[in-house]
Amino acid sequence: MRKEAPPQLPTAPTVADTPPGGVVDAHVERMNVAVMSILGKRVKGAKGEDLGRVVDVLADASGRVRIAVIDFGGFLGVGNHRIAVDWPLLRFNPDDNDPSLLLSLSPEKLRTAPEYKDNPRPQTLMEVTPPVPTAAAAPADVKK
Amino acid sequence: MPDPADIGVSAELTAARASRGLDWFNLFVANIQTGFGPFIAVYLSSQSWTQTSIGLALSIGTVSSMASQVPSGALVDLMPNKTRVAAFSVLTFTMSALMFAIHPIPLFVYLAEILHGVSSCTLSPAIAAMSLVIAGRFGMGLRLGRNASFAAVGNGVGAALMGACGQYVSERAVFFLTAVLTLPALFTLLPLRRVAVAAGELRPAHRAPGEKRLHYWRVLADRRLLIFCACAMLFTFANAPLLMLISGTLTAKGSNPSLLIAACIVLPQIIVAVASPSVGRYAERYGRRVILMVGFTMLPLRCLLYTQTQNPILLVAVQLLDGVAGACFGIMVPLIVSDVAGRSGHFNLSLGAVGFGIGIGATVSTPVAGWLADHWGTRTAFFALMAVGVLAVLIVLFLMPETRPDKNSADDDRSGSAQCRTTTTTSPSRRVTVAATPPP
Repeated sequence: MRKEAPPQLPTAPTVADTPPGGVVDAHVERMNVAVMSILGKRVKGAKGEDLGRVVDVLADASGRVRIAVIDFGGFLGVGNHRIAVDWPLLRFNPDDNDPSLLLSLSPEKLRTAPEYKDNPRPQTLMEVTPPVPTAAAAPADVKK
Repeated sequence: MPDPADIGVSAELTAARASRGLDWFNLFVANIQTGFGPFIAVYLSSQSWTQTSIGLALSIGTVSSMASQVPSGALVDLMPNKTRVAAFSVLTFTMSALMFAIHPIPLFVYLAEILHGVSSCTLSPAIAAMSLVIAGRFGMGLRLGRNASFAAVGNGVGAALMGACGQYVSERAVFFLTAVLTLPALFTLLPLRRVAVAAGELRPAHRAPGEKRLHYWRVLADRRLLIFCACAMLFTFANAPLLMLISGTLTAKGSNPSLLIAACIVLPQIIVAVASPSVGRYAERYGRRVILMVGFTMLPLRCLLYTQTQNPILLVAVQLLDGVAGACFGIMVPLIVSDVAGRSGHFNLSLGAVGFGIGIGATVSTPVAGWLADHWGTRTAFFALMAVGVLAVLIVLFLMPETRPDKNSADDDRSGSAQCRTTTTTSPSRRVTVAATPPP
């Protein structure tokens, strides 16, 4: 399951310089790419298996989304397990009729990952092999 | 005050039918309550609710049920027809289930949580009061055994049904199913509508204005009730977080965590269903304290066993002990309260007080246990909960008096508790306790 051309955000989303008044001028325009809602979306594995659901999305100081909190397991809401997954591990298909998220991880990896705790630097499930240098590597500060 | 003869006259057949109706009512109510459990969090997540709003919704539910425990107990005491209270509570469940299912916007979800929280607090006292009316004070152990047994079947079947529904149909469908299940529950109340009109002894005796508040406090200040409240609170405190604590191990070590956790929920219910009738009988024969001791001892035992193994199959097997504890505790709560307050006219108020204690225990313990597990490890959390469980056992052993009423001296006047002197008339089919006027 190699990454195919990671959806890159080469830099943090550029924030318009705040004008002196503190108010940014805005206008309405149609979004130029398809987008999808993330919160509450089911996450599917490589074989289409159910890997849980995104219940939270965490961003860093620059505003870039870094972590998806995935909730899975449990029965009728009892004993659910929550883990933090590095954002680049997720694949998106907003153009589909039934948009879903793909996560190329084995269910075993998810099950044995430590429970997500609400803290600024949570234990996070990340890819083992460092990203291929050519494919615009993640910023140096990612790895712990 | 209705003539007790009215009740005595009611034919054997009607009584049997009412009794069966109550059996099934317990089953369906347990069914319904499964849908309102922690599954709400799963459902709201699927509706793109944020964790903060879900937390708020669940807290609203907890707070409204905690706040209404004691007042709704007192309210049910004042209602002459407990069947009507039960029916009204179930209809409120229908409404809140539909609010969840049809339009889960914050306003409706919060409102549904409040409605459900409050009507749960009127329903369980209403069930206990109908049981007391149908079975009489001396048949209460057997009756509550049956209640618990049918409720356990309802819980187990409900969990399986709704789990499957959530998995294979949709999360939303679970709430439609919950709403549909309220209909048979209402139907089972039909044979109860005439029988379960409270006899005079269950209603608060008439009091002069101004005397009221003092009287409530005196009922709630009964030593036995307070001791039992403390035990119940400690037991729930130690019991509530256990499943959460083992679920981490089950998820990591088992190949199918959802199935294992389902087994942890359903298996004890099978034990409760099978054991409850005997537990009710034993409570009448050997007294309440023994049963309470047996039930409470299971808890520290479970904690100890959980620290000894990581094997998912063994962990699930240990849950069987939870079934034993569940059967004992589930029956002892209404039974001991009926012993203590069954004749005071404040049965439901007292039941509400115990429910409040249980609610506090359950609400406080999960974060505490979670914190302990995070900072000191799961083993330490188990040992801490074990200590609390042992404390509950010790309180029963050294402080809790036996509350079983003495059949031979039914008008016994136990210290401070019996607010009304009562006499007992015995009819062939069942015994009816009749309140005499309270001493001035």
